Amino acid sequence: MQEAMAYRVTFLISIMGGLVQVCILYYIWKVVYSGNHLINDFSFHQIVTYIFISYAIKNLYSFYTEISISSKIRDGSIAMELIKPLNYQVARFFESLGKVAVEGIIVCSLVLIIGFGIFRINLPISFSLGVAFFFSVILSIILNFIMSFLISLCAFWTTSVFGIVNSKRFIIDFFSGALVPLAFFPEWLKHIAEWLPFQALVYIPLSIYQGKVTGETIFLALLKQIIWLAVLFCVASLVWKYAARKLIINGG
Amino acid sequence: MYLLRYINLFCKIWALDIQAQIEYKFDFFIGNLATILGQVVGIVFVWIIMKRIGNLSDWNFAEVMLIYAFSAIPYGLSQLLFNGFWRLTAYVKSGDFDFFLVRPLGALFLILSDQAATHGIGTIATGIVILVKAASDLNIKCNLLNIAVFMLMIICGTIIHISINMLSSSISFWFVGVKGSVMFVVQQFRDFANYPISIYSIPLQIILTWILPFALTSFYPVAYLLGKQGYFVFVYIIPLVSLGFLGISYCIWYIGLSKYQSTGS
Repeated sequence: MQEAMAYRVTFLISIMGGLVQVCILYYIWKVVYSGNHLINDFSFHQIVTYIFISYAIKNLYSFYTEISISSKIRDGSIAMELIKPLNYQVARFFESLGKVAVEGIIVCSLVLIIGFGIFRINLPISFSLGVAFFFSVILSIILNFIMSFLISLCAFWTTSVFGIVNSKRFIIDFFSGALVPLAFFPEWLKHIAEWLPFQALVYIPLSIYQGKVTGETIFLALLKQIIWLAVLFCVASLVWKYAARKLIINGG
Repeated sequence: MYLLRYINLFCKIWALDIQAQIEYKFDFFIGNLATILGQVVGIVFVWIIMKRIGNLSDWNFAEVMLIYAFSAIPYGLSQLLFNGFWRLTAYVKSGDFDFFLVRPLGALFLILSDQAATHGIGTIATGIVILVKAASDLNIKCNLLNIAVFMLMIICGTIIHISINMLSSSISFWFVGVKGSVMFVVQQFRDFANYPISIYSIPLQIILTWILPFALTSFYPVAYLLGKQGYFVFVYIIPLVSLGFLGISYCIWYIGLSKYQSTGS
């Protein structure tokens, strides 16, 4: 119980830390928009909504996955879980989904209070867009889990998971569009970002939320997420198979 | 004499710690890669935004980069030299802090020399690269006065970082159970100091100048070097304020230490 409480406090602290970042972005964009009304089809109001919702989505990613899997790999307790008759990857997914469900409730209430109360963010334009956004976020949570799973497998090869997790975080922050919407990127950078899986984490759900994609293109956007999901799932399974075999050799 | 002995000891402990960490070459590499990536992402972010609007409230790109560099270097130094405060919460919680109290050198000295974060090297290196690039773009003269001001400001900045870390980690003496630290939230405020603080609201500017004085490490020194109006006087009080802040932090650390009750282990 105490352990769980301490974990909640850690979680709340990370939320507050994120809120500080949101404030910084808010002030920067405020200056950016001081002379302009509309930049790249984004109004100031839309940008504030964008950074706030992307912050909320990021909080739905359980940062617990990488830490717990990698530390189990390092101290060897992963062996106990491997003898259980479960698909390891799927079992860990549902474990972190449980965490997300609890944290999700906290995040949603926080976003409702702070976002709508103080920052006056927008709602999705229509109900159907809201539904599509909901599905898109779920896909993004699964996608993030798979990426975290892949990253934590690095613990088979290196002890410095900390550095890798941090590198991953910075790359995701940037290429997912969590810092700046991809629409603001210079053309060449935008092309790179569009060929990477990270935009499926934040930019696609938010494009749906803000009605930047409508009609049939919504299905295309969701399809893009599903394709990345399938690809990364296959990669993760392959790496896992290879890594698990390696573990058996070492652990004998 | 006494102080020299401490400095000598500190250097020895520090060198050993660094040697031990560099042995793990891949860890060393990847840790620094992460900090450099973080800096690069931050810079590209500013670049993308400033390409659209030209100036960020009277500050051009090179000037903002100079602030960025001034913010990074003292922070990197505090990571590289005195990163031990980050572990204080864990030590207090596990009861390991008792070991620090029974050793003959004083708990503060031991915490200060407890851990060197080698990824600080990445922070400092990127800071210096940005500094050189921005300073040459802005034609800042490399004369004796500017170098002296720079050195003084970097030292003051490092002192401010140490003080803030000391202050925010002392809180774990009062709240033992909390796993994540207040230090983490406080550190997030450092990012405010990467940009001209004139873009923030007045209460926020006051916080960044007087309460969590991160802006004293970056914004005010740069404003002085560039001769920006209205911020000139601050550079003279920075050494005083940083020493004063160190004193206050030390007092709070000391009060916290006397409140410390071992959790046992």
